Amino acid sequence: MWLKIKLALFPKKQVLALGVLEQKINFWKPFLMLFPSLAAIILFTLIPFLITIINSLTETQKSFTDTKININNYWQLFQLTDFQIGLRNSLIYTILAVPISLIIALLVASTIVSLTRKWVRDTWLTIFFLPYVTSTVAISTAFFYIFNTDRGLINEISGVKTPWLTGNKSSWYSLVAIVINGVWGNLALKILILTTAMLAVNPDLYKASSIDGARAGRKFFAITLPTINRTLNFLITVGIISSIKVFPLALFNNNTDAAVNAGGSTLMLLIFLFIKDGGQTYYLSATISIVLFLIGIIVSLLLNGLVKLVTKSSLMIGDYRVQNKINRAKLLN
Amino acid sequence: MTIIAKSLVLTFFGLIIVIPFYFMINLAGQTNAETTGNSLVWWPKELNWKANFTTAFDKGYWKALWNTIMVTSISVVGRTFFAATIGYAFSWQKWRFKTLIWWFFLSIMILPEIALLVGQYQIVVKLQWKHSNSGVIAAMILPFVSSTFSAFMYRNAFASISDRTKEAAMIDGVGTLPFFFKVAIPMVRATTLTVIILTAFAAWNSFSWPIMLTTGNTNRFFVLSTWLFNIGVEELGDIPITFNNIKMAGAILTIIPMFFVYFIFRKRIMRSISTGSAVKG
Repeated sequence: MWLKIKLALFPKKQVLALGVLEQKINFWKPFLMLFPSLAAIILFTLIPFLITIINSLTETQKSFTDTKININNYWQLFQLTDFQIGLRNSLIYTILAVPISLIIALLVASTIVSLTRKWVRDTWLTIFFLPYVTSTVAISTAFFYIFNTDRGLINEISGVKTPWLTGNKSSWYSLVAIVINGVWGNLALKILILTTAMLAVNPDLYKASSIDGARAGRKFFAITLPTINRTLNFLITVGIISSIKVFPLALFNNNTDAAVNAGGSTLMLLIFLFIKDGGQTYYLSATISIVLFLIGIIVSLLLNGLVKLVTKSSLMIGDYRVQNKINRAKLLN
Repeated sequence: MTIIAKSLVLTFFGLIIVIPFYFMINLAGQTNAETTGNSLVWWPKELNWKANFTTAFDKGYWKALWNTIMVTSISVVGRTFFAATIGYAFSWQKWRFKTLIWWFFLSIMILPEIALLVGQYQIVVKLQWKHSNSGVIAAMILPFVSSTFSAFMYRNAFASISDRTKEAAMIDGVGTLPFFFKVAIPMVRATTLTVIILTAFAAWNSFSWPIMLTTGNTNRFFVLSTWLFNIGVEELGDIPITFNNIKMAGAILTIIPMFFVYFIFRKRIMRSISTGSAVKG
């Protein structure tokens, strides 16, 4: 995977130089340039990561000095109801929010691309990009109102007084609200990037397929999707990495306890909760962080594989259909 | 797609995007009675904007705004500098340990910042940065100052400077540093713009890290997103009550500066973000 990313980021360059550039540069020059970054990375990335791992593996007994290295923190964590709910919410959020926002973004982006007038296109893009420039905190406050049980828009329309953000621990309502809030916030960047990617698709491909009598839907699946494949891959990976970190604190009016009690805890929310509670529960935050890290890696690997499988099989189905057509044509003759 | 289908799709999803903004404006104009009442208010009977905005404003908006501008600009300058230097160092063709340090940077990219929060927080506590303004500012900026993604964008940009240019400069006797500042940096202006814009938005809207630094802290250094936390909260008796109309006025105040920037530089911002992300893909 990394080799691929490396290849994609740095395509091999042809060397036409006279040879002056091939000379070895003294080590101190690049090192001096890298030094500040290296220092910052060691202090704020490497050491924190090690601290987190050590914290998660250190069991504190009675006092802070009396510690043991083992995985008991993990057992303790997995037995916590709040953690189970948080894990469930984060996973389901990721599984739902990424595809839903991607599908809506694809629909909106392809509609925007199909508009012929440039200023109309730009106007719509500007509207759909608004959430990106809005801070999550500000917009979550609006969603807090929209999901209000007594005076919220959702309940006004549905006519049922559903306790969206004030249910009990086992309710799923909070998760629905978190997903809606999250999808809304994710759309902006996805729509912009997909629109840009779709506008860059070679128009000759569409013209050729029109001559072959392909319909709009067929064009979308046979030309647009395969061409913007790399963009999709990028959006899915980034989407997962950011979704697993969902932090809906502002949606619950910045009240951690309210969020946990309404069944709206997520892994990130619990990390925040345990750090906020003071020194005693540090180790739980650290343990959740490591769990989160592992989940992130596993899920992105799995989904990457899935995307590849889908694109490959769709291509194979396409081949199969073409082959069928040829065969039928032969039979007719 | 027919025109009707197109406009249906766009209007429907456009409405979904706009509705929360509508409620922000609506809510910011309600009276305390309306905002705590028992039914949906489609539009306030009398617009109470002035009172609500003043109430929110008087809770130290200017200070929070100034702090946010300061933190954002230091972040932008810092990250651009760090990313440019990393990128430039790696665009040199040969030097000792290049591959080794290169893999070190690559592996940093896999670590999500979330797994680091706990450790970063402990370092900030150990360095005793929580209790002074300059400490909090440093704590807000330094953990995110060296972004490997931005560095990769710079590395690509520097690598695409043609060898002819480098050779011409070398033959003319231009030193490394003058070349960096006078030739290389101006040539990658587009990348710099993308890094600046992405960093500015991320820093302006960042929320979870600043809130961690502020909670349980005696030092009250607020940026806008943490300032909004306490807006509209009033201690009536033991339980604090949140007045959402005032909070919403505060929320609008926090996003207005970025909206201005967005509408002025709309085209450039959107182009930069879409090309910047395309590089990552």
